[in-house]
Amino acid sequence: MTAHSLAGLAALNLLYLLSGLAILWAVRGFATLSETARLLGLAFFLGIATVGSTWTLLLIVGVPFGLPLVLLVPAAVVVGAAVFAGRRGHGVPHWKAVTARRSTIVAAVGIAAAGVLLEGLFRVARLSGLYWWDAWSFWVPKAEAIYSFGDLDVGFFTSLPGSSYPPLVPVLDAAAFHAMGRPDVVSLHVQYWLFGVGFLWALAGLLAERVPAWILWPFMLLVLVAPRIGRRFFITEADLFLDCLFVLAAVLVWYWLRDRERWRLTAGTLLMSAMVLTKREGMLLVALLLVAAAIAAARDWRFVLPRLGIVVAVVAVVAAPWRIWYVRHGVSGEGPTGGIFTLDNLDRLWPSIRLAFDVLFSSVYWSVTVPVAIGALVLALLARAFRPAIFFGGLVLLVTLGGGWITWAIPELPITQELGGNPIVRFMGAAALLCLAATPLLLASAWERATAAREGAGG
Amino acid sequence: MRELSWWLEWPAGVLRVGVVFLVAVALLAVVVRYPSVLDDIDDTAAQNAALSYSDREIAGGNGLVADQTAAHAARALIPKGDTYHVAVNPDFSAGSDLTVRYVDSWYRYFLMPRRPAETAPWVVCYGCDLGAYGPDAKVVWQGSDGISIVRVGP
Repeated sequence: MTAHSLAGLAALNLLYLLSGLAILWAVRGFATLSETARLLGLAFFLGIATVGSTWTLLLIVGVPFGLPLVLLVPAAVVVGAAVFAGRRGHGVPHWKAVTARRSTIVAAVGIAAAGVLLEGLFRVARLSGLYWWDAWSFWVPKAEAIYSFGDLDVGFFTSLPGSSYPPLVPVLDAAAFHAMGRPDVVSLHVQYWLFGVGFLWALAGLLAERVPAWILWPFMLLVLVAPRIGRRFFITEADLFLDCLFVLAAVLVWYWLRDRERWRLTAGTLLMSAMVLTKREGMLLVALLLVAAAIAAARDWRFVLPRLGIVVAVVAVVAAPWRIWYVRHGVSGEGPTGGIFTLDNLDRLWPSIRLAFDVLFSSVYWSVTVPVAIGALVLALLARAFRPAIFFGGLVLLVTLGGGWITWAIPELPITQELGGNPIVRFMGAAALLCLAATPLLLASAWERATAAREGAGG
Repeated sequence: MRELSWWLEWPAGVLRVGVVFLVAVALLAVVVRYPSVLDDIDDTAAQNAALSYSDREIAGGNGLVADQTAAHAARALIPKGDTYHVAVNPDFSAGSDLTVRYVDSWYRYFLMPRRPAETAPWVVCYGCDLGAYGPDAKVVWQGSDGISIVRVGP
């Protein structure tokens, strides 16, 4: 770890942030500086998703990956988005004083409590060695290969475990190496810590639109103290990063279903595009997210389905080049060995689904997250907030069934929570993190309806 | 303060009580876990800071390489553009249970940008049969536990 590496990482992440801010400015605009500050985390993640996906696609089609490309892509995104924003007439955000209310104080306490934990995690990250099996086994070697050779070295990539995994995360790591000036695998952990900080900011910023601070912040802190979530915000693997993309995309899609603001679906599509370039499970999670959206919006299908169809088309176009690349180079595919739909191994079906539910309900991994989420779901249904309950409840259920399907359809996987034997615990992180994002929204819906019912009765 | 009826009326009051209860459960979980998580983070940060440069550099390889100096020697001796091969005797007994199966994977990460190859001018030998590499094979580094680095050919 050196100051030079940290400075390089800071510069790179500033580029991500500027790219995302320019995209948000183009697709939605900013009214005030405080609104801009609230959406900084989302901007950061949109910048990573857009710039990272562009780098990845260019690398796959053979453009050499070096420092010029690392700098050129975000610069092009910023300039292109700024020109687009100008044409749409989006002005510069203005200053509006924030009035100190009780909610501001609650948010300040929550931010301070989260800040203390994140500061501690930074100290862990900045001097951590590379201990995680998958990290040194293939994620980081792929990144080092991209950094050193400037391309997807066929011989090297196809010899690694997980060779069909899409390369977005190694590309982001390789960009970090370029920014640091060398493949500093110790400081690389700080990049993942920044992903964690950005995610928490993005989620809190998005939810704060609809959720009162006193409901929101206990759950944001629970993200950090849940055993298998917050403590992993520096680990140089793709699982938690994928979960972050998934949860932010789900919240954006839900908001779009609710208020039909187009920028939300645009931003969600950018995140979903990054998901399919991050991990094989990204395809499954995107599919489940879109199915849940279609079910929750069944009554508005004329409006919703054509737009979801466009999302599917965009995501498919982004996903295709990598699949073509690895098929062309003889790498075995991403689906289960017995095919996606198989009636073999029916004796494994129920144990596989039960395993997924056991993991979902494990307090050892997620603390009180899931029982509280189910309570919130019940309250939302009692409050007749059916659509958020169907969307989020349905999505958590689909993800859990998806986890069961993975174990069922790959007969080589033992039915166990053992991390080295079955990816179910990693995969179910997506469901748990979704619960943490959905619970405040469901509780806020119930609270809002309870208040509205009284006002209605009073009026 | 709210009146009691505000919390008891049906169904809005019950919903409010439910929301407050669930937020309280989440908050309680945070309050209970926060100090131990913070202690745990502090301990891990202290452990990481106390690591030697070599321990931090080898990290996940500490359970595999048997001898850290072998890894450093391999990096120092094998030029960046060259290829290498990790040859492990199945009966190699030093290191851990994982060494024989996985040490070559770890070298693949650690020795980047040097590429692994079946026939390579450099061999990282874990108790391997040096005679198999012919008379031109030259041991350029010899460590403990039968680990050596061999230059094959001229």
